[in-house]
Amino acid sequence: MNKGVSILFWAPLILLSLLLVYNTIPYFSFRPDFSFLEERALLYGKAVWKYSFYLHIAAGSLCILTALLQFSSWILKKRSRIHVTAGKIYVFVVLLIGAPTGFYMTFFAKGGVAERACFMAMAIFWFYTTYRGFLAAARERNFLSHKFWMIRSYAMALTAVSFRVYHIVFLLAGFGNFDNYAISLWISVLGNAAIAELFIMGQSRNYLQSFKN
Amino acid sequence: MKLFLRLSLSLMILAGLYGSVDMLMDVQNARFINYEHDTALNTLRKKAGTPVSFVSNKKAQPLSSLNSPMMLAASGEAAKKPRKKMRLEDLGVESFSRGDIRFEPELELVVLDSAANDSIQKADKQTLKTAMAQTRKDSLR
Repeated sequence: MNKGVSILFWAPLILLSLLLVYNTIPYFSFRPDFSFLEERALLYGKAVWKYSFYLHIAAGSLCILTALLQFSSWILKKRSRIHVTAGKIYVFVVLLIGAPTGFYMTFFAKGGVAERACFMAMAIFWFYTTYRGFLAAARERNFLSHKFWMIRSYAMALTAVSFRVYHIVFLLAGFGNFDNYAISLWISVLGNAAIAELFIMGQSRNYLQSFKN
Repeated sequence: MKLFLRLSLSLMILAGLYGSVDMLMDVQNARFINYEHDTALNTLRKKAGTPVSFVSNKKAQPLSSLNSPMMLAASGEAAKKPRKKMRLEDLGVESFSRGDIRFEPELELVVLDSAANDSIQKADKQTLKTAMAQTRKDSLR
């Protein structure tokens, strides 16, 4: 990827990621008067759902912040310690907090059966790719495989960002609330996965081998 | 590392199991929010005739308002039959403005006509009563 394309890709991504984290901060006032929580007032009454929600948004914010450091080749070459520490935080947070809490909440997610299934698949895929990425680096010492699995994991983590972008775009296009929600969800999950696979395909000599290692 | 991986896997399985049980319990207790009932497509079908732009731009309702059938069902209340709104056309008072009452000669005629009908009916009843009393008296004789 040349420098111009790299800046065009990373600059909005970093800005939107930081914006997402910034927008998450007010939720830590633990007040229920946010439209997202008002819409889920019945679920908010459940202690497990409530704690899962707060843990999930805290874990998600941490994931997105740590992941931003992981794709810098400068940090990887010159400050590898930062890469390792941030990577450990990312893996710890995804496997122990983000994915399990997200998976529990998918059962009550907004949307129809298909959208819930999509959320479930996403949570499982996020967990699996992070798990494989961690194993590839920590046990197998296969860093190319580690890179590919982590790209897939990051693509799933970024659905939180891309979903909001699509949601705003479709809202401006005049789509209704529920249709907009479903379309944005599907496009963000499948679109991110497709972009990640295209990226991996461009970097690997044997693409299918990237799933085996 | 092994312990960490095992712990994470167990947490994921536990989340799945607890989530499915919790969801089934919600379904059983009629507390499960089924958002499918309120898709824009269904709203469109229900509100046939309303401009599409209005429906498509409708925002999600907060639970506190409790005015959609889905929310009523979710809160455990039986779906109440919506009260039919009385329209001015149904009352036959199109000529009423927001302020003063405008005089319409046709309306007065209708009122007078109905009043006349009432008085005729009253008179008919009175005549019938008198006739019946007379018949009873005659039969007793």
